[in-house]
Amino acid sequence: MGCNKTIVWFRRDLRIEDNPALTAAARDGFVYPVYIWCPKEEGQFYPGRVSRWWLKQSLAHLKQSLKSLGSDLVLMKTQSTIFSLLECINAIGATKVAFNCLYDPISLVRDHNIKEKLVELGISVQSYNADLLYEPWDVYDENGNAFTTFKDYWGKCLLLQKEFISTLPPWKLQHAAGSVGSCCIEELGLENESEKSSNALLARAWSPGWSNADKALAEFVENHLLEYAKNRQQLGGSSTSLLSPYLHFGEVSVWKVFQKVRMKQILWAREENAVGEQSTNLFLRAIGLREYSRYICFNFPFTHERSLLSSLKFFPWHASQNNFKAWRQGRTGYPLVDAGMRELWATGWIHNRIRVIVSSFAVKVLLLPWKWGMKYFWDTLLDADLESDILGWQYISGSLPDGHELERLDDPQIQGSKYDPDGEYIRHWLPELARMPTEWIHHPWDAPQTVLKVSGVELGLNYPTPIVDLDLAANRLREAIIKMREIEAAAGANSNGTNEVVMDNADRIQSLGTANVVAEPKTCATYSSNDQKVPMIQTSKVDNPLSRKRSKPMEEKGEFQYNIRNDVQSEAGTSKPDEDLCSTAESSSSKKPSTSRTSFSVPQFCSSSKGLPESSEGTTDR
Amino acid sequence: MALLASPLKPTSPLLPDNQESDQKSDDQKLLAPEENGLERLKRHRVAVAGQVWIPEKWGKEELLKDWIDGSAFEASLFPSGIVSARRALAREAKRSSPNNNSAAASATAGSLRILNSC
Repeated sequence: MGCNKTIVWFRRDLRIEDNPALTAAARDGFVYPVYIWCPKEEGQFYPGRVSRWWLKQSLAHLKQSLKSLGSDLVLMKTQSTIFSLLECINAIGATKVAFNCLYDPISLVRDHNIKEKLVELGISVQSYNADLLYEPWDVYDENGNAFTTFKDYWGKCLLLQKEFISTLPPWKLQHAAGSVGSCCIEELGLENESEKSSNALLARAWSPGWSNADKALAEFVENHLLEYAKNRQQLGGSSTSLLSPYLHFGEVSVWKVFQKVRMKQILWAREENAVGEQSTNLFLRAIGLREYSRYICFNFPFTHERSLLSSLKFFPWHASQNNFKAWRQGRTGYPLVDAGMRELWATGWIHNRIRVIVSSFAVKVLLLPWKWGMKYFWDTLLDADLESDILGWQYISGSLPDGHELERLDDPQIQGSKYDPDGEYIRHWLPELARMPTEWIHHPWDAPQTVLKVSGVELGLNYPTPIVDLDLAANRLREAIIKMREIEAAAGANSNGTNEVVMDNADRIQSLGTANVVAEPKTCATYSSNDQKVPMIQTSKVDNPLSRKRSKPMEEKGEFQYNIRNDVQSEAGTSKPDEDLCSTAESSSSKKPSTSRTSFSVPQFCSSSKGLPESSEGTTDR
Repeated sequence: MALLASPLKPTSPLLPDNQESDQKSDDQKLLAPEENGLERLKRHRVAVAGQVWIPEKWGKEELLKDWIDGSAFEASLFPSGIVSARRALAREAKRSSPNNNSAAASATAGSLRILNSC
C-alpha cells in the first residue's frame, strides 16, 4: 500500500465492491471519499423527487459502509463541484483524484472540464469505467461506424472478447485526515419537507443501498431468473429483477449482474435447460439495452440541428394542462393507462410495457409535449435515467430505425386485452372498476347500463368517460404529422425527403474508430399519392370486435387547434376548458384513421420511459 | 427517517447497522427479517391498492410552458464542449488500455489516466 492521498469522488457508483476508483485509491494509500451535491450543475435534469429520495438513502448506506471500513463519506453541498473538489484537495494535501466515468452529455462535459482544471493545477486525475460492459468506442461495425440498431449492436457485443474484472471491497481503508465544509445527509436537501409524505410510500416498498442491491440480485438470479422468459410479460411487477434503480445509482455493478446471469446461462446450457437458456438470453439482452442507451447518447448526442428526436422538432403539440393532469392522475377513462399512472405514483416503478403504453398514450393520443411526460416520469420513477429516457422517447416517437413509427397509435383497449386478459392489473389499481366483468374491464364505455349498475360504475362520476375518442385521436395524430411536415418543409428541414434517424452533426470522431454514421433512410412511413404525405398507417382497419362501439369522449367535437404555446397560456390564465382539443375529424382525409391493432412488444429496459425492440417477439425486461 | 428499510442483520461489518432505528416507521419495524424486495413490493402493492390518491397539483405546472419549446432542454443535452469532452475520453481510454490483458494491468483495465502535467 502506498502513501498517496487520493480524493475518491463518488457519483453514480455508490458501492464498495467492483468500484475501480475506490480500489485503486485504496491501493495507493490514503483515501478521502466525497459525494458532492451541486443542484445548480444538474440544470434541466435536476433529479426528480423519488430519485433524490433514493439517492439520499443510498448515500447514507454507503457512508455507513465506508465508516465500517475505516473511512467515511464526506458529503458536501456546493455551487461548484470543482470548487469543492479543490477544497478537499487542499484540506488533505491530495495529489490525486479518482472517479468512475459517466457517459451522459452533461456529466461528460463537466468531468472533462474538471479534469482539465485539475491537471493544470498539477493534480493527477484517474477515471475508470465502472458503469458499462463495453464503453461506447469499443463497439463499431466493419466500417468503423457506430451501429444504429440494437440487434446489430448487441450481436457485435456478444462476439467481442472482453475481460471483466471484479474487485472485492477493500479490506481496510485509510482515511486521509482533513476538514472541509461538509454537511450531514439532511443538510444536502435531497428531500423537501413537502415531499416526505409522498416519499414515505416508497420506503415501504424499496430498500436502496448496495447491500440491498446485492440481495435483490441474488434473489432474482436464484429464484426468478429461470422463469423470466415466461413471466416477464406480467404487468404486476413481480416478474422482473427490479434492479434498474440500483443499476442507475451504481449500487451493483453491471459486470456483477452480467457474470451471475452468464454463469446460470452456462449451467443451464450444460443441463440442456432450454427454458433457462432462453431466460438468460432475454435478461442479458435487457442489460444490453441499458448499454445501448449509453452508446447511442454518446455517439449521437442531441443537437439543435439534427436532434435524435428530429421528427418531433416541428410537431404541433397540444399543450393542454387539463389533459396532462388527467393523464398524470390516472383519469383518462382508459383503464390500462389509468392503472399504470396510479401504480407509478404509488410505487415509483411500473413495468416497461406499461411505460410504453402510458407514454405512447400521452404523445400519440393526447398529443402532449413529450417533454412533459418525460419530466413527469423523471420526477416519479425511481429508476429515472437520462440516457434510457432519451432512448425510450425516441423509441415511441419514430426516431429510431427499430422503434415505433411516429404514425403508429396503439389502442389501450387492445393492449389491455393482450397483456392483462383477466383485468386483474386494472382491478388492482382501479378499485372503482373492481366489480366490472372481464368482458368490459378494458372498455367500460361499451358496457350495458345494467352491467355498469351492477358493477357500481357510474361513468363520468366515479370513473371518467374516455378523454378522447380513439378514432378522433388517430385523425388528430395524422393531421399533426401533416402539419409537422408542412412546418418542416417550410423550415427547409429534410428537404431531400429523407428523415435522418441519427446523425452526429459535429464531431465525426473518426479518430475514435467509432461513429461516422451514415443515417439510414427511414422506411417506416409510406405515403399515399393522393393524400399529401399522409402516412399509411400499417394496420388500417379498426377491426377489433371489442371496439365496435366507440368510446364516448368527454370532449366535444370542434376545431382542433395546432396552437402550441397559446394553449398553455390561455389555460393557465383563464382555466379555459379543453373545448379546443377537438378535431375536424374527417377534414383532412376521407380515410378512416386507425389505431394499431398489432400488439407491440418492447424489450423492457431499465428506463424511466421505454425500451427498444429487437423483434416484435423478443422482449425483455428487468 | 429510516435509512435502511430492509432490516439486514449486520453480520458483516460492511453492512450498515440498523441506524436511526428509533425513527423507523411502524411499517418498517414490522417487516419480516427475511422478506425480500420483491415480496415487499408485492405487499406494498396490496396495501396501497384502492388508496392511491394522486394530488391535484403536481407542483411543477408553472414550468410546463417552458417545456414545450425544446431549445433549452435540448441545449442542455448538447452542452458546449461535448465534442472535445467525448473525444478526449475515448482517446484517453484507448491510450491507457492497449489490449493489455495481464492480471497486473487488469486492476486498472478500462482506466484512463491524465498525468500530472508538472
